[in-house]
Amino acid sequence: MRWRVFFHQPLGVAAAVVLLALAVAAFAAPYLAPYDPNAIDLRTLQRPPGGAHWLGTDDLGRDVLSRMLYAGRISLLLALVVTALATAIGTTLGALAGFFGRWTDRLVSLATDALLSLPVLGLAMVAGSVLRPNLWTLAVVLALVSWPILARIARAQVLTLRERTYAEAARALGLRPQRVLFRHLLPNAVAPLIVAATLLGAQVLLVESALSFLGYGMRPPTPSWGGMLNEAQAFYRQSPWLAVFPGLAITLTVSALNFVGDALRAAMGGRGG
Amino acid sequence: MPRLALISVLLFGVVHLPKGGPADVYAADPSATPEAIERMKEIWGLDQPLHVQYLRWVTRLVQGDWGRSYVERRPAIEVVADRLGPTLRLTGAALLVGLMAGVGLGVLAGVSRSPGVQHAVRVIAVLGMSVPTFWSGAIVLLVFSSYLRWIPAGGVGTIGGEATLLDALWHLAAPALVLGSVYVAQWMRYVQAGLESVADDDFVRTARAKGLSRARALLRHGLPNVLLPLVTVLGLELPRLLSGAMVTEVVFSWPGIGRLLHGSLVTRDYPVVLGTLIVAGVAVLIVNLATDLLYGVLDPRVRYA
Repeated sequence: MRWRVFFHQPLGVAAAVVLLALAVAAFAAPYLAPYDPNAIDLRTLQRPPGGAHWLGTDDLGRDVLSRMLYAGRISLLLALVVTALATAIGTTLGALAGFFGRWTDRLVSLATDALLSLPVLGLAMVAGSVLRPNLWTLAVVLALVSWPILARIARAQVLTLRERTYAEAARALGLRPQRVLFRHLLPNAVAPLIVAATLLGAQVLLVESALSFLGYGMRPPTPSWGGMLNEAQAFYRQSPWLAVFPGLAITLTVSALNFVGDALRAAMGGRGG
Repeated sequence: MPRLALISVLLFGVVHLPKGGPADVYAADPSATPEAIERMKEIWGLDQPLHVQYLRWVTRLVQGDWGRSYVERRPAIEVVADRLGPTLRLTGAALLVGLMAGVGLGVLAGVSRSPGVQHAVRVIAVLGMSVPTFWSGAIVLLVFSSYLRWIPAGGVGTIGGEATLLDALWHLAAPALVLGSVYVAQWMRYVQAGLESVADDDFVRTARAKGLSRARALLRHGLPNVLLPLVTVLGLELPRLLSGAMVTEVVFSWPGIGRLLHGSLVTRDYPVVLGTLIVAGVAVLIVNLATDLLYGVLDPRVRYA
């Protein structure tokens, strides 16, 4: 990874700054939010943006800005946890498959191919519907459907790295296979995995918000960006701001992740991902 | 084949393992006596151990018996089959939109040497794949249907109206554009990167040595080589396209597989739920096989590989 190249890409750097700001805003939601996100106020139903409520209020008089901040917490935390989990599972399985080959490879590749040929959203919808998930079960469900891409990349990386001379040298020294794989091969595969994980984060956020939009994600009243769009569906016409802001937040976060991933890929020399 | 088997185990497990599965749907009805619940379980075979249920389900599945829809009281396979047409139409049209616009813009960016154009293409590409379709779809509906009244609010045709081709296209346009817009970005980028990589290849250099302009050499000799692998990418992208179609169908009240899945999950109609996912899985397998075969026809080099 050549960080100089990364920092010479204005879009990537700007996107990283945006991400950081979003993360800070979400983390500091309790201090930044002007109102309680779930406080129902029947005197201020569906107020347009401006005045005491910068982004307006929803059909129950709840402050949209406060809800957006708290929703960002949930959405970003989920994206982070799911990406971390999926990367851990995918990298481990993919690396093992690439390194040991034979039946390990066949088994992992079979699972990867099977999962990759099903629509992720459909599976997550079914799981979300039967499980009625909380934050952690939702994270596990999403991780279980999104690891295969990482596994593919890790496998391909290990397959090529395994033939390098330093890998051969490590084996010739009599190191145990685990040590060769985890100490000598994987560290050299980190760059493409980081790029893939960043782009996966963007995908996860999209799937999570689609899931919440359809009503299979976090249960109300816990706010999430997709969930806010779901709740507001009946009021889009009277109160268009309810439709605009959460969608903008999703688009902003996802595109920031994608731009960062793009810049990281360029910093890597355009390989992988 | 093993992949199909694993998919079936996976689907069955997702639906039957957790609590709240089919067996609990009946139990949730307060008017159901314990005896009635037991009898229902017996009729549906839900009293058997899971692996027995699974084997029975798979055997029947292969024979074309996908169980009966709890809600519509007719074979689940029929319920699913009825919705296949609209989904195919929507995904097909979206694919067409994505391919035409994507390849067009990609060629523009690949042939152009202005850094401004290339930069713009990159930004559009990233933005295009970052907008959630359920949001862009809702905004499109809000602006063009609610306010401007240019397009219908959803569905495949005017209710009670004559089923003309024009009417069908009028309903298809918005959802297809919204769903296709996600792919414009991807194809565009793919074609641009492809054109850049073949620009230095021998056959393009030869064409230029013959006196062709850069643009002509790239289009006549480079582009076919770039478009060829697109066939495979197309097949691999299908699951994601189906995921996208599911949300788009819900937003635009499009009576396809995705909306069926959504509705069946709400009513807990599990035979239909499983049916929609099986259809999706099988469709992907068929398309992947077809693209592999097609690739052999289109590119003689792989036939000997």
